[in-house]
Amino acid sequence: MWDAMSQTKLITIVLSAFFGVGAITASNVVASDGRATQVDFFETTIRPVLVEHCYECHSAEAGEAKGGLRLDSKQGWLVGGDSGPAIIPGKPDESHVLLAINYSGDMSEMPPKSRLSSKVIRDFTQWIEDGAVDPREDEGSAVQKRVIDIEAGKKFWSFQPRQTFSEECSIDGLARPQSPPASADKLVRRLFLDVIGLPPTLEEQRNFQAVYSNESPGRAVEVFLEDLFGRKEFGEKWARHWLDVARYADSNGSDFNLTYPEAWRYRNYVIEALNDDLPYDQFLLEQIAGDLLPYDTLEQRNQQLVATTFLMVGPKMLTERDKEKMRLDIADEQLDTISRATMGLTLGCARCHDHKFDPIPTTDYYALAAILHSTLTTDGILMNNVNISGWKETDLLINEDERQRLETFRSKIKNIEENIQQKKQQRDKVLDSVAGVLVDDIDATRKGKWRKSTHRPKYVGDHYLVADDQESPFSIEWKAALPKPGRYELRVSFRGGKGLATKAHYTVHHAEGENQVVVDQTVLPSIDQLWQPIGQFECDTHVVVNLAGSATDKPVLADAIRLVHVEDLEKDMPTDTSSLDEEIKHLEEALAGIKKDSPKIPRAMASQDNGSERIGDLHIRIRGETKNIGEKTPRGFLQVVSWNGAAQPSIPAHQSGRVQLAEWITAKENPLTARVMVNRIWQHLFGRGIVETSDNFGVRGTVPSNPELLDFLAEEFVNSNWSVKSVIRKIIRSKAYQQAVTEFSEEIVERVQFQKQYRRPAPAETIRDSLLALSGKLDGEPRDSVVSEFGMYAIESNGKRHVSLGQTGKLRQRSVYLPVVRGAIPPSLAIFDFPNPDLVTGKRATTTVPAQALFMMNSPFVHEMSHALSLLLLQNNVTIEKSIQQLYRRVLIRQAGHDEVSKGKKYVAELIEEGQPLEQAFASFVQVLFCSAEFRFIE
Amino acid sequence: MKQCHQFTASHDRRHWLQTTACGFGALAFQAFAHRIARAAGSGLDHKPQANRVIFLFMHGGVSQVDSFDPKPALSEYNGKKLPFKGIENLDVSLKDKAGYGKLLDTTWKFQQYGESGAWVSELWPHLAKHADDLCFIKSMHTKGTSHGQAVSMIHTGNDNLLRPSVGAWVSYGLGAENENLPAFISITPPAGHGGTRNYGSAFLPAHHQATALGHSSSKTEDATIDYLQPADAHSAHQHRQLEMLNEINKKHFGKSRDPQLDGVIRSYELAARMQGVAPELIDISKESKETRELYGMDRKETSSFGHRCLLARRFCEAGVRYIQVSTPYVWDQHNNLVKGHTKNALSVDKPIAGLLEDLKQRGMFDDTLVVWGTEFGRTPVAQNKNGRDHNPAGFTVWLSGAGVKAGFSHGSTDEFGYFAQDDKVHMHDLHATILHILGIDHKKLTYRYAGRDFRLTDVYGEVVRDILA
Repeated sequence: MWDAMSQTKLITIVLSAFFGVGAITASNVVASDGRATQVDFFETTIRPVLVEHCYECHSAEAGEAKGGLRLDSKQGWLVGGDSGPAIIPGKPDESHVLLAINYSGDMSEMPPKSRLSSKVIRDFTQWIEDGAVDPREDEGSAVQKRVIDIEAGKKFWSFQPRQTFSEECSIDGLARPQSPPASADKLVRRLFLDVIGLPPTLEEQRNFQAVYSNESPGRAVEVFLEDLFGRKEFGEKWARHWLDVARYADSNGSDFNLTYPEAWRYRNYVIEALNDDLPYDQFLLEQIAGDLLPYDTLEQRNQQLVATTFLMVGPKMLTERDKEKMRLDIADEQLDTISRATMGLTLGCARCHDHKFDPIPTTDYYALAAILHSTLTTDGILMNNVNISGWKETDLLINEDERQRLETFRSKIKNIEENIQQKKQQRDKVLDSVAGVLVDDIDATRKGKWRKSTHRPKYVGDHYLVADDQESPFSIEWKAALPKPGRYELRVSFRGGKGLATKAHYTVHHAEGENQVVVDQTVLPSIDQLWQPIGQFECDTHVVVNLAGSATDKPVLADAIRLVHVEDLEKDMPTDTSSLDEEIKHLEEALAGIKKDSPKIPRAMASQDNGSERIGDLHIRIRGETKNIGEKTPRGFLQVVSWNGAAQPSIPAHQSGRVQLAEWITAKENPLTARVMVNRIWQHLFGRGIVETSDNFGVRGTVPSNPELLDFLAEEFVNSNWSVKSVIRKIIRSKAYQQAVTEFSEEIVERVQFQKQYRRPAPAETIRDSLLALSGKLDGEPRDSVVSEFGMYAIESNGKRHVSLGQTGKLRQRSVYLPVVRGAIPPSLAIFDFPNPDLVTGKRATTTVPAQALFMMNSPFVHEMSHALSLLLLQNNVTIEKSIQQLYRRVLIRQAGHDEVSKGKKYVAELIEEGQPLEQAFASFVQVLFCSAEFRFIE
Repeated sequence: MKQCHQFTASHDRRHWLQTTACGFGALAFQAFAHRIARAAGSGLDHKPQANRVIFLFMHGGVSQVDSFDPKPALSEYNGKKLPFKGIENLDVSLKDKAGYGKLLDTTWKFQQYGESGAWVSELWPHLAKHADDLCFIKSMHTKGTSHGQAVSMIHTGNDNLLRPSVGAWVSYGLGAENENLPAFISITPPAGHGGTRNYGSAFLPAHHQATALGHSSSKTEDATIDYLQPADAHSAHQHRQLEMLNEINKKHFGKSRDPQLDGVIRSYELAARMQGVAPELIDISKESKETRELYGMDRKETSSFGHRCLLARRFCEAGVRYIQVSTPYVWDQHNNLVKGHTKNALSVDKPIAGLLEDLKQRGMFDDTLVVWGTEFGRTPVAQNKNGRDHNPAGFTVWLSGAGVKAGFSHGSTDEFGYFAQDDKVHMHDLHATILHILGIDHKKLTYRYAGRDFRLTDVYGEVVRDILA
């Protein structure tokens, strides 16, 4: 059985490594028989195998050409599939078909179900070696490789240049609104919820009403819009829209849900950028390449560094053991995020094959991916585990002094560390010269459970041993034969540290009997941090040292022992060793002291370019497989997104190319960037975009319902120096925005052409923040890190999570400052369609599911808000009627109807009659309004 | 041009309905879409053999050579070198310099059971009695050497990117059987290794995600649906509150006839019904002593998983389409294989056997598919003294109940149980097969997102016809 087994495997290995050699022998026999024989050979030996095992997925008849490959004609394998020609006549070792059927690991394994027999593989090897004679010249329909026509692709609307417009052109001229302006109540509510995500106060409602009726609806909007633009709440509302697109989160999610303690800086950067109306082109430039941009001040540098967190906050498979695959996956994730967020293009498809719908060849994908692949995202390892990658963080310096201080500090530390190292080497030299007898664990006798390990940085030989399965007693015994009798110093080796046994019991059997020595293994040994002298003993020619224990709860280490004759100690140990020890001790103390005073430097999760060895172009990965390497592609941009015949920017060899990437994206001529952004803004103010698929402007997206309007807004955006506020202002000031909601009808066409405003669900944040604000519970202060208290793990692999992660319902800050832990989004947001932060989401789902109803009816949060507002409204001892009127005015921003007041009154009265206190009965009614559809929608 | 215009309009109307009329409305729409799909011959193209699935997920990686895939060669060559190269990127400590490892024999005795003569180790004494009900696939392979990737793979068909989970696809494809309950329920799902993404809906509409009962480390008796019960006492009057709400909402709707508002009204109605139905389902106090014992709920070792399996049966009865039951993340025996696997198998063996038995007694075995699986197997070579590393290259899962051959075994691994060798079944193939048994063609169940038609099996997957009943 063993032989049969190893033979099969052996053949596989030999074949994959040496089939060339084997084939040559075979070919000598067959080649002389001429072509007829070769055709014969094909017909009897090769064709039946192809028909039986390959045609199912690689033939015209089956309608399948997996991997783009067809094997039902000669042309099929000559042209080949995604990996190029499948068979190279005469060269079996370069023929993909043979590599695949060999299951050699370099290609996909084919056929996928089971490996073909060794004989068949030998036959194929021989056939290819002989020139792969294939008579199927005319069989199968013509095989053509699809080639993307970039020029034809450019004709698609979104790749075309924008139209230009005359000065008289306006939003209303293009959108042709038909409804009258919304009522003052509806309009003020819409304006506040859309711009700052919070409802207007009673006073604001009154003031708005005054301007609305004394002057005009448009004037009221103008006045209040400028006021709202000046509030920090504007950025806090609109930042969330961008954070959706930037798939922002405070933890990694994915396989290993580590906390991102520094991600918050990016969240606050986005809020500030919007409040300061940072030009959108600059905003993108900083996020993609902020670390590479020049700066005048350190503040500016810091801001730009923080902006690049955009690249970093995606979910990463940190435990992926194939690190090149991990880097390619991360570059893919970053590229997909950038392209969808800024240009509404999905590039992910082109990683494995030419994009099936959009004119994006695989070469374009790798040209772009190489730019991100040349960027440092993951860095170092975590938890001392080579399989777990960490990520890059960078110091944020506030001023020159601080930089000086930090540099001085670091060089001081470095000097001392180098000094210590030097001294230790000197000491090691001295110690190494000490003669002695060494016995390693490998020559010792063991009993019980010992496990080999190489985890700790220092040990003797290949490994050391750990006893950590403490159910049974364990022991290890070293026997040393000594060259001569005398007094010896016994040293035992173990790399001490936290978590080890504090009492390791050594027994030394020597000429005068035996001694017990207890060693604390949590302490680093004094010599070389590895060797611990444990006493001097009188010995004859043998010493036996035993280390034993049982049922301690901490692991015990065992490695080697060493016996040094005291004469050698005295002889070889110069008097200055102790002074060396002393010096080292002082230096280490000094180091610890300095480290204690280390300046606290804030850090950002910022990207940077790779070192020169990792900067460069990428090889295409055929079918996206890391190890299936194709041609190298120079870094560059999408061919289809180019303008005026302008040459695409060239990338300096020593840089990643992110600056050029960002410049290409934010060029005024880029047909996509401005359109995508104004469409996003329009969508947030009307409930749907002019292009409905706001993250997809490609062939598979929807076409703009009003192309002129889209281009007009995009032109205005670019011409206003990419001012986001200016686009919002233009839209909100339009009659189209201000008109009254039109009720739902079958005439959807009108909706599509954006002549009307429709009712739309309020986003999760607006519902939650409104509840807090109305109940007087909102804490309007900004927040910094909201996850640092969670420690290293947001959620551990066993599901354990920090207790406060389950109590987000108790937090009172605005929703944008709630922790966004992947896999644990606060329910108040998650239930109301908060997007999954693994994905770029420009357009949230709008669902109406029972979970929302359950939350509104049953959650402690809504109950608490209802009670708080109930108390607020009742505190002035006003009548129930008054309270109900107040309630409608505050919550629904309108006057209560007479019947509404009387019904509410009756409801409260009945509950009181049943024995409920007034506040509770009224709270119940408050909750009804919170639950109402009217409250949950923007009109 | 005019025609084009009309097309846009009708497409838009359909989309409008899809995206706005949700909750109860969405279910109705779904049923409607479902009928259209059948009529058009896409999506659900054949008669289903099973109406629902119970997926038992063993989190951490169950060792196949210690459970269902005996390899006598292991005892012969215990401690000897593996005569071929193992898979890449495994722990260096289990390999010598050439990348080979030392084989480790199993501790457990294997025996053949039933008429089918299925081999089962002594780890699974109760399950062994059901040998003739089981359909083993012993040639599984998957993607991902780490838990994160492989757990994501078994749940979503992708090892890296966020994709809808199997249950979400089933919910999307078939909708709910019981309009008062969600179509997909996950009992104590894993919170680590991707957490919610393993039972999420990704880009599918949100109501397809699983309704979760607690998570893998919560106590089973405390696991419940969030916000199912009112937060405080005043809710004794909740029915009246709901009446009031309904009146206000209906008045609002009456003025506008906006289907979005109707959706809200229906969502409260459905929530109220769920609130009526679900607590009773979760409450197992009325189950008989015999039933509890059947699931091992009378013993400390088995009570927790027994409780989970019993809940699964109850949801099954109530008409939930896809129910996942998960163990905590306990099967990852890099060390302490003997102790760990003994303890873990003990905790699930009786409950699973009880579940199979109970389904049979209630006549549900014929239209319920039970799938038992793990994200990957373990290596036949040793890691440390008494452990095995992850093995995505070859492992065992089993299916039972509707749609699959009983007392059957498909595929095999090599002589040591390392690599799947004959009739290999990839995780994509398993997914394709599960959908097939539910009456869904995995190539036709698609959803367009970001310009692409996505499916559970991506561009892969083949139905394992050999195991179909």
